[in-house]
Amino acid sequence: MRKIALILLLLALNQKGYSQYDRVSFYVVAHPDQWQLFMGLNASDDLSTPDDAIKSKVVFIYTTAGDQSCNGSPCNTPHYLARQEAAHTAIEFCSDRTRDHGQWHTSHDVVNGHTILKYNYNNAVSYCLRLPDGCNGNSLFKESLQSLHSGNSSISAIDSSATYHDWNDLITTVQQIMTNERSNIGDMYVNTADTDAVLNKGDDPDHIYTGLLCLNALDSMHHLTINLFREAIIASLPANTDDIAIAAKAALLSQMDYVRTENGMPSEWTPQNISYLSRNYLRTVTR
Amino acid sequence: MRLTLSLFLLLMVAPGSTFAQSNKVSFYFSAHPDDWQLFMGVNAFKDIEAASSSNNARVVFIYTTAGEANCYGGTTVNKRYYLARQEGANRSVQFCSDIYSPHADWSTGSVMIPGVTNHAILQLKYKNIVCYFLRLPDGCFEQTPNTMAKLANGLIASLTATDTSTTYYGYKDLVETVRNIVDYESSTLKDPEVWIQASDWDESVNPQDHPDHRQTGRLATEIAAKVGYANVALFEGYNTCNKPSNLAPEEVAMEASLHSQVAYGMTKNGYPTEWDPQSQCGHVEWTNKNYYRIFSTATTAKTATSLLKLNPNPAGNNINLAYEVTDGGPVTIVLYNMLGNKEATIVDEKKGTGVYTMSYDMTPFASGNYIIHGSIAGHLYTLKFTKL
Repeated sequence: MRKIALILLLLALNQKGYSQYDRVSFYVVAHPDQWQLFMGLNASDDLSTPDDAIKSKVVFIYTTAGDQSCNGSPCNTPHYLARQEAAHTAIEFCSDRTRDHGQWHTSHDVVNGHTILKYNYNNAVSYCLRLPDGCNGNSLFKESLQSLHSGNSSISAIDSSATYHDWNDLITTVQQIMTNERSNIGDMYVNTADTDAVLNKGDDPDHIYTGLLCLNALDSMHHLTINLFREAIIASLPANTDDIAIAAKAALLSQMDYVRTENGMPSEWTPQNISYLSRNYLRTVTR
Repeated sequence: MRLTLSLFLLLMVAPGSTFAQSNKVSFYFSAHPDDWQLFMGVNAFKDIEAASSSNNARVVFIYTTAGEANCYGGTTVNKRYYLARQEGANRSVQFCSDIYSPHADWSTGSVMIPGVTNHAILQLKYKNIVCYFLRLPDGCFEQTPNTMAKLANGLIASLTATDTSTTYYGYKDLVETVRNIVDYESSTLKDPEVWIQASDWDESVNPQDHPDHRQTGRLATEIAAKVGYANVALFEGYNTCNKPSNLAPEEVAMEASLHSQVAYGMTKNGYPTEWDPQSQCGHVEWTNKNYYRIFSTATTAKTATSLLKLNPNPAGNNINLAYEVTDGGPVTIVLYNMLGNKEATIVDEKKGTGVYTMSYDMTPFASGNYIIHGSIAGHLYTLKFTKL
């Protein structure tokens, strides 16, 4: 009798799209090292929130591969794979604070007709669209988020896994990822680069257009909180975080840097990146 | 104000920064694999930078205990646990060093270090950074039956490493062994400036600290007094949790970055994180402060004062040895390979006061690196050379 009741309960929950999570936080970023430097405090908290407090799912959507195939340099696959691994290590570091060390699971989801690489780790999900790094208009692939937004061309993932025909195609794809991952989770938070040219002056166009893509994808979504982060410009703004916050972001940069250098890439423990560690600037929009 | 204070401290006393470009050998005595990152992290970060940026500096970590934390009645040594902590410590070193020079391979081996008797000690090298793991038992706040402090206080006659690699018979044996590490590593640079950093052993200055920390500090200070050429900086430990921050933001970042590598080494191997800012006096709360004093400065320079000399180096098929016996006594000179295996006994006899020279035929030995260990009437020397 109890078994039957349990089965009925599970069926009912399934009918209602029951989720094991209370909250979902999205990080929609252009490059694998972006959220750690600019949104690291929020991400660190989201990833490490203990399940007995709030069951929190964290979804990262990386639009570009971060291949940095700029100014005629060839596409360096080990380079972007190392950056991706570095991002994964930062996720592990945070998630493992309140959970057992887990295993990564790799899959390929078909979203809006496009095949997208997906990784799961404990309470984190990462989607890697692997579009070309824009390189401020000097990409090896002659394609970028900015040029796609301008309507000039389609854009293909550098691993040839997908081609997006226009900006709306890409918006719909990101929107479907968000809809699927949100399912019926009540609390939804979205973190991305601020698209305001004044507030976020000087940011990488890949970051800005990823922020715009994110906002476009959210147009028809409601009951959510959006955090818009100022990025490169914060180096020139006053430090505004306490030591615990500096430590949290330093840990993320440290974890990434270990993986980068172990893979033969130069360190990113640079004065500029270190200056970001004591600064955290964002504005919040709720709707 | 905080920045001003921090700069003041750095200018006044920071051995890790003031002499970053000097010909420096810097020792960090660490009772456990995660101590130096938290309590001495800023100095160590800057010393690793110096050692990784040029050949004119060297950093040596001497970990006294295995840090197995096998406390409160446990009877089985948790090897996985202390290896996880060791991995975390090595990640700290590698992360920091790789900022300043390209990634390299680690080398691992057991080296034979003489004390009163000879001891096989795990040595890991990364660029100009050398780590010695003595793996003595973790004292667990003196809960365990065999601890360094008990050896020092004569309460136990011997102390065996947790991996059973060696046994120290009496405190003097331990002191002489570690002293020989200091002597050997200090001889790798010409006329170096030598710094020894360790936990403060004085309970009135460093209250409530782990007894292993304080005992390791005591060991370091005693060795510095014996060699005479080392400056000593002694660091406060656990009690700094409630002290105000005295580091600049970029220094907080340094210390936190090092500690995060320790934390990852633990969680990656299935153990709880040490990244615990929420709890009162959690590890992260130590990352924004370093409190220490300069306990003593060198009374002599570390120059070529060895009573045992070898030339040439690199050598061909012959090496020339010269040694001075200042007060008559037994002399032993032994050749070891880099794995710590004895290759030959060159001298083993009683000698009267005087200067002796001799040539030794290296023809039977393969090309490579070798160590000469000499015990000259009670004075211990270790010389490393290369046979071409």
